[in-house]
Amino acid sequence: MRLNISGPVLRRTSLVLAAGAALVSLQARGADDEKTQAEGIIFERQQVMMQLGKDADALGKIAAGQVPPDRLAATTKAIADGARDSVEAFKQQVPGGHAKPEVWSNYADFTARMEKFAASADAMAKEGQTGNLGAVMGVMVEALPCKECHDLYREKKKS
Amino acid sequence: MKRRFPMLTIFTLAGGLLTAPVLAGAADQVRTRVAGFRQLGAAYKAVADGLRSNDLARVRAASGQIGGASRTIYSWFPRGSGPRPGVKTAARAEIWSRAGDFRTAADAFTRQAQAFQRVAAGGDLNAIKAESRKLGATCKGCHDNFRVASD
Repeated sequence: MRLNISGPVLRRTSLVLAAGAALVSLQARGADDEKTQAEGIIFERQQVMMQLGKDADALGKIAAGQVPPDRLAATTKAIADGARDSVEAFKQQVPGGHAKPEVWSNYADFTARMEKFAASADAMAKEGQTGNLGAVMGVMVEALPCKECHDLYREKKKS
Repeated sequence: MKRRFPMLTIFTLAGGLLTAPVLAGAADQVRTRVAGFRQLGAAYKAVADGLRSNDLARVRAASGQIGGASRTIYSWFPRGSGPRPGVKTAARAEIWSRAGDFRTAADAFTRQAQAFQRVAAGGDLNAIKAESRKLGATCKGCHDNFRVASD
């Protein structure tokens, strides 16, 4: 069979095909960009949580007397800032990383816990600014409900 | 009966003396790498903090630090500075066993660090945020594949 395609038809067909290819390419690039942005958001929140872990460890060492308490104010403030940052970091609901799917399916509960954490950490930072280690230790457990939340909403560590 | 113990002890001590400088060298290389990544991490945090508080000057300064570090990152992974007994490091052996893939990941980071620095020099906050996320994605790409999970 011989196809008899005239010049204008061929040109039109070529244009349609080229436009289609460009659209597919744009869509693919859009999907790539979206994935990259999502990975970036996950990385941001991982960094926030990792820093929080380091600051909580530092406070633990101060409380245990392994480190002098002169860093008490700075450390409690860093935890309060980190807690606030973590609330912000999860506002963009991007699944992935170590966050369990329950973070998004129970988002109201998760957010309420995070907000409570941020408020308690703020209160602890206020005590920390006075340099009163005893007062900080009195509110520390409430201000650092890390395990409670991790048990519910973070993937288990790989052994 | 012949006493072999002293000879064994001599060999062990000699072996220890010979490997000690190698381990010390590797430990120094790891220290250099850790110090470099700590600075990089602090600069990345400064970017995130600066973007949250709309402090563009802070973001620009940190983007310069990241851009600078991205050019030196290649020298932070000399052969022999990987995981081995006596050397504590979060670097995975795949960095050296899959050197081509690691190089590709490092190149992606370097390219994006330069792109981020260029965009951060401007004033378009949304573009800066988007580029900072692309930068984070290149960090994550490397961490996921070539770094021991920290948590």
